[in-house]
Amino acid sequence: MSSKCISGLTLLGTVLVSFAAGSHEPTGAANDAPILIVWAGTLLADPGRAPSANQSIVIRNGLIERVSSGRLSAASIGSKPERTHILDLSALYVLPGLFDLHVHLSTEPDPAGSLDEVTLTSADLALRAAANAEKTLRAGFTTVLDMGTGRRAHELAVYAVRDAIASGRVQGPRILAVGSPVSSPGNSRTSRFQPDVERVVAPQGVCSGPEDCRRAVREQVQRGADVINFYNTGSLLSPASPAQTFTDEEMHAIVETAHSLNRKAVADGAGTPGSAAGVNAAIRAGADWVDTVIFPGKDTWPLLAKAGRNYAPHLYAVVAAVGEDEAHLSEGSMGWLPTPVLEVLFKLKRATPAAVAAHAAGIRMVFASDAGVFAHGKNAGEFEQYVKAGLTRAEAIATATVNAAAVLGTSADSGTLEPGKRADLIAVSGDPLSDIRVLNNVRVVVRSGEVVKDEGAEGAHP
Amino acid sequence: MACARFSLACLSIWVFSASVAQSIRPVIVIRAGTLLAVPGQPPRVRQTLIIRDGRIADVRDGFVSLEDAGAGARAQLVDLSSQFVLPGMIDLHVHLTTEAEEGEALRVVTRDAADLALVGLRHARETLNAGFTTVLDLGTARQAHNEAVYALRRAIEGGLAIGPRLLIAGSPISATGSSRTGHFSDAVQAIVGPDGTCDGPENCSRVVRQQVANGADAINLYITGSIGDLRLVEQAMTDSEMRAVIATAHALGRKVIADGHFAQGINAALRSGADIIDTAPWPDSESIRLMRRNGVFLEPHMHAFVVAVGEMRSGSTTVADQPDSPILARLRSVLSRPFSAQRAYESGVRLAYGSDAGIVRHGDNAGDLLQLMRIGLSPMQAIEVATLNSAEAIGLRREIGSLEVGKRADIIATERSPLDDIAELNSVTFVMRDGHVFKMH
Repeated sequence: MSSKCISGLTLLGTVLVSFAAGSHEPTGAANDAPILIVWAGTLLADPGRAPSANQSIVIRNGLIERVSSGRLSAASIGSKPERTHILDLSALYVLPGLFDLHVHLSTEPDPAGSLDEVTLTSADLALRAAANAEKTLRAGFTTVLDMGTGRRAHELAVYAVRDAIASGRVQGPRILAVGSPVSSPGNSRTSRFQPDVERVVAPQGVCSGPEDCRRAVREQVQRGADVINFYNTGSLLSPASPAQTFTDEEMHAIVETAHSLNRKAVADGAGTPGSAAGVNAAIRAGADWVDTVIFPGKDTWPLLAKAGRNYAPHLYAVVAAVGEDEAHLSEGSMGWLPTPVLEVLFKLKRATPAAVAAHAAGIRMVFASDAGVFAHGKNAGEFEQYVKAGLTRAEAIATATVNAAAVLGTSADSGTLEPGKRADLIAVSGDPLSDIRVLNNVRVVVRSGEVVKDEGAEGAHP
Repeated sequence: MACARFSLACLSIWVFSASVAQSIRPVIVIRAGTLLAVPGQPPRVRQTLIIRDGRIADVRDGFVSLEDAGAGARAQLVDLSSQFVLPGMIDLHVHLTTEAEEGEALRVVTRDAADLALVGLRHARETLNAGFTTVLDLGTARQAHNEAVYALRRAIEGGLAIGPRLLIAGSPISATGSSRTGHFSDAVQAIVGPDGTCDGPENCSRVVRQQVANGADAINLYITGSIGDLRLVEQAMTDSEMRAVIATAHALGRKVIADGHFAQGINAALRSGADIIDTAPWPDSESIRLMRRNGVFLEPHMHAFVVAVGEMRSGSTTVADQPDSPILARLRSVLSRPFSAQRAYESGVRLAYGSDAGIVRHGDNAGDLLQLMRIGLSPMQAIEVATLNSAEAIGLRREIGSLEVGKRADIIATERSPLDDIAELNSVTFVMRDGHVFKMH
């Protein structure tokens, strides 16, 4: 049955290949490089500011060269017609490519989860991650942060896919990867196996003591980590786990070492009630953003606001995991979990109050879906939850564009559609400022000036 | 944009069938302008193929309507009424995880299994797009490559990756020192060293069983040293070792491809019962006699030799590091006379198809068809080599190789007749494997 789906995918793949042939790689003299002109019906160049109608975006060498009113042509910008391609999105709404700062490309929401860890090779996981990367890109996400699993085979798979995408071998978003999360012994959130097996598949990134934790961070960066993820509290799925899993000193060492290597540090924790202490400690240690935080303490948001740091909730994962209806918990994407765990998860819909409070406290929020817990490619489901939590639609879009670029420290080259920035853009049919759900159906994706999906006109037929 | 529309139809039908019953797939009706259902027999115009559950359910004269085909409401019509339709091609010699580019020697120690799986992912797609619906990966003797190829097969079968039906030989079976892998320092060799080596009949039987346990569909056996090895090892395994390998493989229902560059080893393998002789630039009259007598197929992959010599002239390192090496002189001497495959073919030896993609660029698998013309085959005979002969050689004649009722729906098409110009098969317009459409122009 899945192969049937492949027939469709293949044809799409063929389309991708044909576009790749016309990709906009640097070709010697910059002025002779091919030019892509995008005609945008409506352009939300900078989420947070008002959109403008009838704009043209001129793209060369993967970068935005110019944004102007009206429909520019080869003649009007003085380029050679044979070196100029027009992408007519005048019936569509154009906005920056989306960021998702929490994905797990090498995992799937399926009941083989634990068994996968001892049956699949890094090669299997790489192929799985490659397929998921393509789905993610086609859903409009041009940059993602893979948050790791703690398993070496997953690390190798995600790095292989990241590098294959960067070299053009595989289609996918720009991947940033954490490698394995840094965690303290016993708090790696991985399944337990019998001791002999555990030795072979041992969780990576585990450290104890500030010195050892510096080593663990350096090791992740040495292996290729772009960002450091550390587990500052116990696990969402084991309610008895500790409120704070690293000492204050260890957290300081982790964040300081990450920063010394020019890596952002994200603290992933507080999925359990009463674990705000771990979140607060991570904020005091200087974490760049806190992820999850379903159960903040009274002082958590004021502390975060004062530190000028950021919050990445993932609300849709819980909704997708258990469904909308308490009587039918097993119908969600993680319905295979034991009922008591599902009941805990259902209560976690309290995540929305945490997000409401964070928003009210003026905290900058960044988009993080936790895809992998639910199906890859459905990442945009997160937007609707943000709107439910009280963000305006423009603010919700900002979480996945300007805000995400800002927390990653890449505002200079991404997050908005302005001259000099990377030409990562998407187009949807309808106005996301009126109905955020139009982002669930992205029609056109351009990554670094390359058209990787174009269902603008043709996609409209049934 | 018939193509995009078709893909949408495909997707929606998939969703529907998944929700009803997984085993029920919509019937596909293909209208073929010209159909070469059985290579070797004359093609017929205006034919209709009816595909059910990934297999050929019927072949009818004329263009049959969906209703007359009894195809049901969800049936799909594939219109190839202006095309030449033939069975998907079979390539019994590919190396999906290697590529014909400089630096391959270094990549042995830099790429891990995950990287190699992604290398193979791209090559698998290119191979299928080129009209090859079944390939046999002959391995590299590296464990990481095995891991990657097996993962790739699981991904293709599981619908995660796009590629041909992937048959796998695992690591070639070779005597110590004859694995044709590069040389590294002892410490590195201990880690990336060749897999599948064996010495002595007992040990060689065990290694064959290990490859089959890993999932091998066929056994690749290195019977001589390489043409690129100056030591000139003309027989790399003893007769008793070869007999052990072949008997064990046959006991496990696996065909044996014997890969050799010199007549002495080839003849020993033929006497030991090998099913396919691979490479064989220099079989002698005894080899030809034995191949004929035993009904053994010769898989010559001549194009790879042409490519290898061409690249050596341009200073690339695919076969040898020095452009003026004696190896190059030897290859030149091979190329200076007619391929011995011609003598074998003229003497009645049956040919099977292999491209050695990995030396040849992946996706250029059809390159050997032209070489087959050069040694005297007609386009029809060349197509027969790449379909029915190869199916028979690998033991899948009942499943693939022709478009007859009951066989797999592995179908390709070209714009014009490849019987007039074999080069048409370099630009295949339509590819179906197991009843799934993967390419449609």
